[in-house]
Order: sequence, then C-alpha cells, then structure tokens
Amino acid sequence: MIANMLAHSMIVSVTGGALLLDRTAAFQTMVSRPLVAAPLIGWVLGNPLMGLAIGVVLEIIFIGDPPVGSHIPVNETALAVVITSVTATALDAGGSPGLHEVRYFGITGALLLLPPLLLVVVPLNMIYQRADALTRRLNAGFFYAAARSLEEGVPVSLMKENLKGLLLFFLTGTAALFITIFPLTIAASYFGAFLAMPFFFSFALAGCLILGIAAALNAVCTDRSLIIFITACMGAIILWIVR
Amino acid sequence: MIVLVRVDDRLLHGQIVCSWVPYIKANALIIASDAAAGDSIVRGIMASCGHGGLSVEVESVDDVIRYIPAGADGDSKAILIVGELGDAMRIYEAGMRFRSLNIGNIHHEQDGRTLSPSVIINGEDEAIIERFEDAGVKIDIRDVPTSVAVAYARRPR
Amino acid sequence: MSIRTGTKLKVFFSSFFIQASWSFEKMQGLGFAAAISPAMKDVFNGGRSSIPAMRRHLAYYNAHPYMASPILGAAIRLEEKGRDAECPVDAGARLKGMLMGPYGAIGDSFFWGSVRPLASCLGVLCAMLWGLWCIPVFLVFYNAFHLWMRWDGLMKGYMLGEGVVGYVISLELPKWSIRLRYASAAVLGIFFAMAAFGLARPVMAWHLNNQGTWLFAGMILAFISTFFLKMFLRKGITVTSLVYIVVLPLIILGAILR
Repeated sequence: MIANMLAHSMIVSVTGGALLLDRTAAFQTMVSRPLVAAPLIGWVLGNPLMGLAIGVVLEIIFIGDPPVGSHIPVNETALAVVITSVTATALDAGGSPGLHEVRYFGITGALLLLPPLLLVVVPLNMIYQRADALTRRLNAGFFYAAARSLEEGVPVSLMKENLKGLLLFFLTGTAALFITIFPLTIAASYFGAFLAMPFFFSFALAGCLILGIAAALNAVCTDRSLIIFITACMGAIILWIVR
Repeated sequence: MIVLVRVDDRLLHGQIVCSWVPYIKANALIIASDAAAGDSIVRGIMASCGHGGLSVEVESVDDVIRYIPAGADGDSKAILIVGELGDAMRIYEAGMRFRSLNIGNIHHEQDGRTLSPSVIINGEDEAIIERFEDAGVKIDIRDVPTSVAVAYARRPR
Repeated sequence: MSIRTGTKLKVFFSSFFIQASWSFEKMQGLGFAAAISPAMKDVFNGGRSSIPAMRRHLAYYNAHPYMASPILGAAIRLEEKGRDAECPVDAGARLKGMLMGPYGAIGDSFFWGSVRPLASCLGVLCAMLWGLWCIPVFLVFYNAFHLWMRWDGLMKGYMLGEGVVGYVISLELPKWSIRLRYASAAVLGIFFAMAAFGLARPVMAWHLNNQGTWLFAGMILAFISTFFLKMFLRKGITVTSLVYIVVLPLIILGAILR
C-alpha cells in the first residue's frame, strides 16, 4: 500500500519536475500551463479528461501573474500537478459508486474536489516558490565558476555550466513536489471517501469559475476591455436564444 | 501628476510596463537618467515601448527637476523612474516632494547588504534611505505591486 | 567571413536554454553567454582566441527570454564587425546592455501580458467545445508567436546588426499588445456566456417556476460578482488570497443548503 503510494508520488513528482523546467529553465513553450500540465498528469495516471477539467479552471484563475524580472510568480504548474494527482487518489479511494461517475449539476466528480483541494494546496505554493528562489541563489555559483575559468584562459564549455543550473532546477522542483505530494497522497487515500459530498462543493466551484473569469479580465484589462467583454457575452447569449 | 516614484537600476523593463502601469493605471512614464537621456538610441528604444495609452519620456535629472513640477497637471498619471537612490534624493531636494518611494532594483554587489533578492544596497544607499525616512518619506521595497513589501531595518550604530 | 548555417542552428537551439542558470545576481548572464559561444568560436576561429569575446558576454543580463534572439543575432554581427575593425570591439556587448531593459519591457508586455492570456482564453473556450483538442490549439497558437520571435528575431538580428533596433520598433509590438488584449476580452465574454449556459442547463432540469427569471437573476449575480472580484484584483489583492475569500464561504453555504 505504502509502496504503491510511494511509486505514485515519485512518478508524478518526476513528471511534474520535468514540466516545471518549462516555466523558467528551458523552452518556455507553455506546456507548464495548467491547461496542458494537468491533463498530462491525468494521462499519466490514466484519466486525461479529469486533468483537463481541473486544468481549465486553474488556467484562468492563475492567468495573470507573469514572471517579470526577478519576480517569482505563483507556481501554477506545481498546483496543477498536485491537485490532479491528489484528485486521482481521492477518486480511487472515494468508495463504491466512484466519484469518477458522479455528475452533479452536469459537473464531473473530479471538479467537485477542486475547491477543497485548492484550500489545502494553495498554501503549499510557498514551498515551491522557496525551492525556486533557492535554485536562483545557488545558480550564481555556476556563473562565477565559468567566469573564473575564462579569466584563467581555460576555454570552458559555457553551455555545460549553464545546464548545471537546469539540473538544479529539476532537482529542487522535483524534491519540492515530492515532499508535498507524498503526504497528500497518503491523506487522500484515507479521506477520499469523506470528500464524496458533492453538494458541499458545487457553489464553491461556480465561485472558482467566476474568480477565474475575473482574474482573466483583470489580466487583459485595457480602457475598452469591459465594453468588449460585455458585448461579446451579450452577442453569444442572443445567438444562443435565436438559435 | 506623479503617482509613483521608483528607484530601478534597470530603468524601463517588464516589471514596470506589465505590473506597475496597469496597477496604477498610469498613462505616462518619465525616466530620469543622465546616462539614458544622453544616448539617442536608448531614448528611441525606450520611447518605442509606449503606445496610444502610455507615453514614455526620457529626460536628464536636471530637466526633470526643471520641467516636471511645472507641467504637473491633474489629468495625467505618471510614474517617475530613477536609476539610483542619489538621483531620487536630488529630485526630492530640488523641491519635488513625494510621500513614498518605491525601491525595485538596486544591485550594488560590492560590500552590499541584501534586503531582497533584487535590492542589494551599499553604505551610501543606506544613508540616503535613512535621510528619506527622516524626512517622512515612506520607503516601499518591492518589485511588483502584488509582492509583500520588505521592511527596511536600520543598522544599529 | 560569416558564420555557418550549422552554427546559426546551434545558437537557435541554445537560445531555448537562456534561463537554465537564472540567478538573482546575474540573471540570464550565463545563459546568454552560453548561447552566443558557438558563434564566437566561429567568428574568432575557435578555441582560445574566442575567450576575450566570451568574457565580454559573460555579464549581468536579463530581458524577456524570446527577445534574447534579436539581441543574440545583432551581437554576433557586431562581434564580426569588431573583429574586422569596422566598429569598436565592445559594440556587441554595449548594444546588449542597452537593449535588455527595453526589450524586457516590450517582450514581457507582448508575450506574457498579451499573447499568453489570449492563448489561455482561447484554450479554455476550446476545452468547452472540443475537449482535449484544446491542448494542440493552445500550444500551436502560442508557439507560433514564440517560435517566430526566436527564429526570425535571430535571423533579422544577424542580418541587420544594430539595425535590429529599428526593426523591432517597426514591429510595433506595444500596439499589438493592446489589440490582442481586446481579442482576449472578446473570447472571455463568449467563455463567460458558455460557462453560464453550462451551469444553467442542469438548473433548468429542476423545472422551477419562472425559469427565465431565475436564469436572468443568476446571470446578473454572476456578472456583478465578476466585476467585484476584478475590482479587488485591481486593488492589488492577490488571487491566492481571493481563492480563500471566495471558496471558504461558498463551501460553508453549500453545507448549510444541503
């Protein structure tokens, strides 16, 4: 049992750790966004659609905190990875009907666990940010090592020194994910059944969606955004009614 | 009207355009830097960061002291960016009174004291900060508006 | 003698790792030097003779990661010119130092502030329409802008040298940032309407009296709460604290109404 959970946590942490690299260290192709990361973790755990449902909501809630300069934003990738993984565990432990199948207000069971999990996982963001900050402090060492070699006239491979930073990002990210996912997995496998109270959470889920739309609207705010938003919304409603 | 004064050794960059401008709803950026104002290429690039809703001006510190208070109409909302604390003090002493001073980026790594990852100050900076505090200017050390401000603690003497 | 195509490709691939050793002190300094080093070996015929150039470029540097490409291209061109004594030797390093702040500002507001939110809004809208197909839509849309800047920026930079300054200005990215934000607001409006229908359908299955009135009231409530929450965000309240302010009371409400 524990061995299973350990394996599960390790697989998710390593996959998540690789995804975290896309945020800063390499590529920046946005596979680290919740919209991609959550279904990917869901796919690894055998249920991509569950991940997608989670990813959509997290994507818009955490849309507007870009990594400008030395600012380290909320680690929405880690939040998406952890929430998807813990949801999968809780659903499997959820008891006889299996929340996989539950639909409440037309919403899948996976999403109904999102609000309570958000409350638990959002504070963990501090750990991920700390891990990131630690890496960014230590990385200066690689710069100085490279600078020293060049000063001594040694033609070092700068790329090799550079990629040491990437390795460090991977190690700290994976470690931070593991120390949070492992205890949460154990907890979820015991308390998963307790979470099977969908009605509790349906209002909160609607709240999450509205918060997401507000966050997105705030992120793209200009002098005319509000008018465009309302016009497009009205247009869509009128089209729906006419059809 | 100048609504924010910021010390930033990188002058104009992402944190200002992406975070502070929308937060304050500023429609003008005034960059007070002798080095940048003296270089026509730098002035051109910085000005190109503006658009219909945001004007970017690069002026020398003296020009800012001379012209900005006179042109302080109530309509515009401007952010004044200086490259170092000394320039901020020069402007303050020339009579432009601001109530708070945001410190975003200072990298004085030689014998520096680290206040936050992006603010590393030396002895001169400390003296200026303390003079600002004595004059009643609130010191606000943070990179972007959503970050938690770091408190400045005086060194025991 | 200009650099080889293979070297250009090497620089292009290295540019994806420009932030691999991001540090608070030197930021992308090492990443930039690592990305330009294959070209320096070409320009100065390899090994030891390229060391002075590498030392010039191993310095504090930070801009938007994609905007490093036009700077890389221009710096390589200026290093070539410097080698041939057509301009000062340190012209490339100087240009780099000059451009990094403004290109950070332009890149951050265009890519982080406009393209990414638009891609996200399109992505979540597509998720409601086509399920998992939203992932390729999101990635292709976003990376079209991303890879264009990485590749074309590098090529144009190398072609134009310091002329890259004028080229980037001519792209008018700050203006496009605003236009893309308008597009995002429109997509978001459609998403809002669809999310509301999604929630309305099961409610209508309850067969309440005055369905239309209920729907209308629900819509207005959602509108008002969206604008209130947006106002809080504008005031600088972080989204993480709003998660608590919104979710906790609603869970309690759900428990009471059960």
